Amino acid sequence: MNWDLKTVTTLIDRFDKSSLVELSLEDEEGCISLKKSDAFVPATQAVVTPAAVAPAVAMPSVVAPAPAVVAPAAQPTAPETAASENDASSAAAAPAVNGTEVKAPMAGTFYRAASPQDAPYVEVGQSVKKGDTIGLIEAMKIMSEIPAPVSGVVRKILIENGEFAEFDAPIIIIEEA
Amino acid sequence: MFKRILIANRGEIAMRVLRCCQEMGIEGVVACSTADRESLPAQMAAQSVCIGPPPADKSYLNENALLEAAKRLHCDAIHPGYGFLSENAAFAEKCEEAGIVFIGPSANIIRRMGDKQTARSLMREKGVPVVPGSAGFLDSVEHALAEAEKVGYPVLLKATAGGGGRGMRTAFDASEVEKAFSEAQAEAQAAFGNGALYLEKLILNPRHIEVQILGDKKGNIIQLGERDCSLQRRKQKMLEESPASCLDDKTRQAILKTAVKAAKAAGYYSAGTVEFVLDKDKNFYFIEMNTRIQVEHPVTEMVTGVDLVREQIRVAAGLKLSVKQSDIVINGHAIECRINAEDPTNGFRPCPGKINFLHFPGGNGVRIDSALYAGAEISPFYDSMVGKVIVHAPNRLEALRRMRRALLETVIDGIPVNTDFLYLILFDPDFIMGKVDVSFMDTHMDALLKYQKDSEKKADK
Repeated sequence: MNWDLKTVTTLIDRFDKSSLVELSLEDEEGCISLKKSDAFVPATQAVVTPAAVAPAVAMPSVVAPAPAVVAPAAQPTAPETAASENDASSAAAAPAVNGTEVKAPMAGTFYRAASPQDAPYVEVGQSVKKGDTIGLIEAMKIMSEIPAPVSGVVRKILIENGEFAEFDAPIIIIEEA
Repeated sequence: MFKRILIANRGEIAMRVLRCCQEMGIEGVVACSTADRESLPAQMAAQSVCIGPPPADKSYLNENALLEAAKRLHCDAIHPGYGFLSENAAFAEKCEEAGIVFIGPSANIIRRMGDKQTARSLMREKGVPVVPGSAGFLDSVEHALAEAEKVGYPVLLKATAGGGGRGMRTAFDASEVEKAFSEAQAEAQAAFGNGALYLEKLILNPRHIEVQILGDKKGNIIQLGERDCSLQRRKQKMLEESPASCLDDKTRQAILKTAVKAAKAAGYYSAGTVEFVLDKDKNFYFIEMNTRIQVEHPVTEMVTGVDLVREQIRVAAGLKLSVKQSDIVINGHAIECRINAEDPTNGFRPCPGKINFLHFPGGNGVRIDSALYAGAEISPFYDSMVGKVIVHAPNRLEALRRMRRALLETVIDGIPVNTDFLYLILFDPDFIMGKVDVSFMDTHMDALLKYQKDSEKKADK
């Protein structure tokens, strides 16, 4: 892809007008990740990295609004579903994490904090006690708290703030203490 | 036109809607419970979304989960199928408020026609014949007795909020009215939260004749012929046909015209069905309107060539009907048999289980609407219907022969099914001669079960 300003702004414009909410594009010369506010909270972020980021796949990937069937990593960049082997920088290919999966008690939008102004209930590395609220699930303005089923340390957060979680989708991994 | 539709249903109707979406270039998103994650529609859809655990009230009836999923997955519309939320006015309203199109009529239409007494009053007002009965609700047992005297016994006390045969009691003379009144009221209150009753003359052993309606938001309303759904067991339809061979042309035209009148009175649009009962003297009476696509819609599709689900989607998107009344010609005869995972020799007990081997019939004039596949698991959480075999032929006798052949060819191994039982019905002399009313199963059940038992004995020898 031509990484000049005109091409990039055209891409952004087309993306904006489309019904896609997430688009990521990567090749030897650069990568770009676009997301609309619906894909996560807060607002759209366009990250353009001109330097090579050692990708394994040169194909652009267009991600349609993601159901939680494919659990993405916790960072804003859209991950490749085929994780690359040489992935020092790629967030998607983290090794399997041991621990108890906390699953969504109902289908809905996952929120990490009580409100956009509040700090998240938990962060990776934080200790939690059984019963502590680790997040919220909202469906049509009905909020439900997600309690920690065990005490331990939060090892991984699998669903991003503002993303839709299917019923029973793994949201967080807690390593039991 | 919609880009993405959330299919808020399961099984064969989810497949039906999904297939239609695929043909129209619309992305179908199948909402499923955990029990249906491996179901055919969930696997075939471009996307599926798990919205709850197996129990219907937490999944397919979970309005908030469905709406949130539709919103977050950018679905323009929701198709509710039949059953579940398809006739839930409150859900239709929530869709409207959320800016998602509910594929069906408006919440107001659903509400108006869903209340049976209101629907009756409206029909009576517009000159549509209704079953003779009370003008309004019954205040007391005395009121019920007075109304019963007027129409003549036997009578039926019915819940206005009722459905599926519940909240109803018969009274064959004055002495039975008090008991019928209190029982019907109690059942209605418990099941529907509304104990209001009205009274109807009980038409003994009628035929059940219904008319398929299509309407658009521009006010066009057409009828697509009638269906005979008289073959029922405990008020559940087993087999449906189109056209109704018991009708002479004059009666047929009168019923079709009246159905359109009823739909117009309701201001109807989308697909719907007007139901009538036909008594022994060929008098027909409106009983209710079903404001959804129905299980037996394929028989109408086969004889008219019109894709009803496609029309539903088009109408919901604001387009006008793609056919006019003059385009509707009834061609040949169609029969549908409902295949259920049940054991007729064991009281029709529903039998969940796994399908080891599956072979569906094919060939000229055979259509299968099913979500079955070899290896599929039939769970105990939902109704037992696993598919529909539909045939079309130039006339009723050939359709009968074709259905016999189709059922004979059907192999569903792993769970008991009712295909053998349905096959035997197609050889019953009364059925062949079209002498079927809603009491057919009651009077013929024992003989049919005996044939089935005897034929199995012979096979074992």
